[in-house]
Amino acid sequence: MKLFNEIYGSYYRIVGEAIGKKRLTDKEVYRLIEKYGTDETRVGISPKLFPVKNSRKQTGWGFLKRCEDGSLESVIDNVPKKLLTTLERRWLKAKLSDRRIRLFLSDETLERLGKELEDVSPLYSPDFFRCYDRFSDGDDMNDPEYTEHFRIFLKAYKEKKAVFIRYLSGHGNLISMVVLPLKIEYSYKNDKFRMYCRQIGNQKNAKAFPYVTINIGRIVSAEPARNSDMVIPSGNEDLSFPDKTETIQVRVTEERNSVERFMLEFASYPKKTVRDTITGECTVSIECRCADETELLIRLLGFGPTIEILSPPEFREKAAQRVRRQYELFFGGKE
Amino acid sequence: MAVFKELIGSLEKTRTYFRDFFVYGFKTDEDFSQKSKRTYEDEKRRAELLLKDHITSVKAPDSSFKKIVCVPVDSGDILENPFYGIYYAKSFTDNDIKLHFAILDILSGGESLDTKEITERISLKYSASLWGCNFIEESTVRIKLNEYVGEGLLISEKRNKKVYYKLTPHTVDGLFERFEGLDDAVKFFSETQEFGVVGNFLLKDASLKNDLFYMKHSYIIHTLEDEVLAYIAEAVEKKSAVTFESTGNRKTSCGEPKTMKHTAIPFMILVSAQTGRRYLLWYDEKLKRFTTSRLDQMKKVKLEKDVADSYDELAAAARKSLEKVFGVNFGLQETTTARPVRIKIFADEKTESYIIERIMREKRCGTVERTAENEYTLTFDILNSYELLGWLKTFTGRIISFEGGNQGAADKLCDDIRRMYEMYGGNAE
Repeated sequence: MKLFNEIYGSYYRIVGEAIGKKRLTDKEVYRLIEKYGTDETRVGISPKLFPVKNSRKQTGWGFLKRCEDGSLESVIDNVPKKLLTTLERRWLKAKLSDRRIRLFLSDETLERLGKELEDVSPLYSPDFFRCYDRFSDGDDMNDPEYTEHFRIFLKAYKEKKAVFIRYLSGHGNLISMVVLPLKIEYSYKNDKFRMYCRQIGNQKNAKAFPYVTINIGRIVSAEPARNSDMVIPSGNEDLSFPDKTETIQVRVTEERNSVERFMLEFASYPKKTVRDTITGECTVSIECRCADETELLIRLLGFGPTIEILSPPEFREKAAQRVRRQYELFFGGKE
Repeated sequence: MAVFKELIGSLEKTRTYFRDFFVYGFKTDEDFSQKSKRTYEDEKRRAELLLKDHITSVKAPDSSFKKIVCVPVDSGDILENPFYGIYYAKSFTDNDIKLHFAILDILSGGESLDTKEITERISLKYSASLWGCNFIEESTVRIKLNEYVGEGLLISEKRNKKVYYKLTPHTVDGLFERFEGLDDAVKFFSETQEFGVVGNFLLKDASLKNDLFYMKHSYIIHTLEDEVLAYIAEAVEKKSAVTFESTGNRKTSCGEPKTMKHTAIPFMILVSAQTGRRYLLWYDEKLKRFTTSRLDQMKKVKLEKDVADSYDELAAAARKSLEKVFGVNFGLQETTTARPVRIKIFADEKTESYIIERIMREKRCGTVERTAENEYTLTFDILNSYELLGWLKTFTGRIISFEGGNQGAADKLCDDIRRMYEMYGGNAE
């Protein structure tokens, strides 16, 4: 059972689709190549896939033959079945033990799927992966109410429909609002689902704060919005969630292998890096969502003196204030 | 001159290049001098093909004509991990693909046939069109049939000393219709870090793609380790030892990364959601101790002897040993006694309840106690207190004191704060 296997590859997929169509044009073959392959695939696969005119020696695979009307016909009699491999079935089996699966499948469906997969062992056991620095206050995904809220939001998101919710804010206030889900995000570190939404109700705060981030775990109640005056914005309106970003510039030294550690830790951020070839130091410009600024600040401070925040000045000053405060705590302002 | 081929036989070389393009984003061709210029150009081109919409090539800032390849992707802005593309680029022979579709066709009626019958039918139906009337070896067909039994595409059955083969009854067709919600589940799990690429295979089989879930704080580069991970998962399931090579941060006298060979009894994967690293937790029989190795530095993983007799006991001990570790470091063998650490942190209880919440959710194996007004004391009973320092510095501005732990840890923290104070302008106010 191999993960890196040609049977999952794009070339097999293209051939499978082409011979499954029985009869097709050159254009349709190229469309398949474009759909499943890269810009280079056409060069790699064409001499093998297309029949070669007047060739004495067979150089292609021979799956397709040229018809009199110029179209291509598959020489394979039956449409290839899309078979599930043991790897795929074992992967599915492993997911049955993942607590998040109940967000998607009912108990009855889970039981049926379990029976369907009873002849295979899971690809890995539930304790094979252990995340040691994930935050411990993740969402309680075993809570039936959480599952219900999640499903209402997921359905509304797929159908582009609004949801009426009562929500406990970060300050502990109970807020009612009608929202249109625009984006669903899961954070591995926080183990939380968040919905990025547009408020569309007639309440005052809908105009003051049109875009809101909803933490599913904080929803008290949710139901599909029913009132006829809950107007979903017209199709012309941009419904993407506005994510303001800023650029943070940092100098990273080579001390304590910081370049490698820093680059890997911040690999999930878009960034530009310039390296000083003499000192080995790097100047990194990180693109950061404004909402994540504090999170970034504390992570940067975690690197200690092996990195230095260069700009923007206000962001650097926030770091400096914390450092000064810490110095006071340790050394009382003077040594 | 050798022609560029987009398909690859082995992931090992390509994953190193892809990782460097993504993680560093500042290396020029000269930084990849361990291989030939041609290898670099090929891997760069492969990356440009597979990571098409996400890769950029920019001029080096030192006014030379060198180019830098980088992949500036925010995992929270994409629906499909672009690195999955590498798993769709496995090379194969002409015979591989011909036999694949010929076997699937011959067995599509649901019959059970032996190797001889399958070979005869392939010859009769497809010898002319696929093999140019050449002879098809029965032994070649048998090898492919047995390979496909291993992959689960075929089922074999022995009757009267003969092995019969038929197609697996499990197909993708109708799978997502029969199990309501499974499509959304696979879309979600296809972008998670636990073999997400397999979910991507399933989605592609069903002509679906993830159009729902974005993943924040996700290290998409981890998928390049999935092949190594699959071997380890197999070893853990079989309770076997493995051998592997590991290239760490140590350098040889020539300045090249030093490669170490290990024989390991593997237990689990320790994942960091914050540093982008994943480690294998294993037992070193020679040194009689638990240790960890980074997955992205591991290669040539091979299954070795069965160690089932002692496995369960060692696995239980491995899990127990994690109680004394803050991250992944077990310390040196000679200092494997836990040394308690006490850290006091300031949090204004009236206005900074979020700091107390932070302490509670991030303390891991530590315990927390309110020891005075606005003062919270964390106690850790761990083998290596140096591991705490990185995390602790995220509380810069609030650390009242640090006591205990390994010798020198407190001094190092104080020294770091002193240096940061100088770096940020001292008492500039």
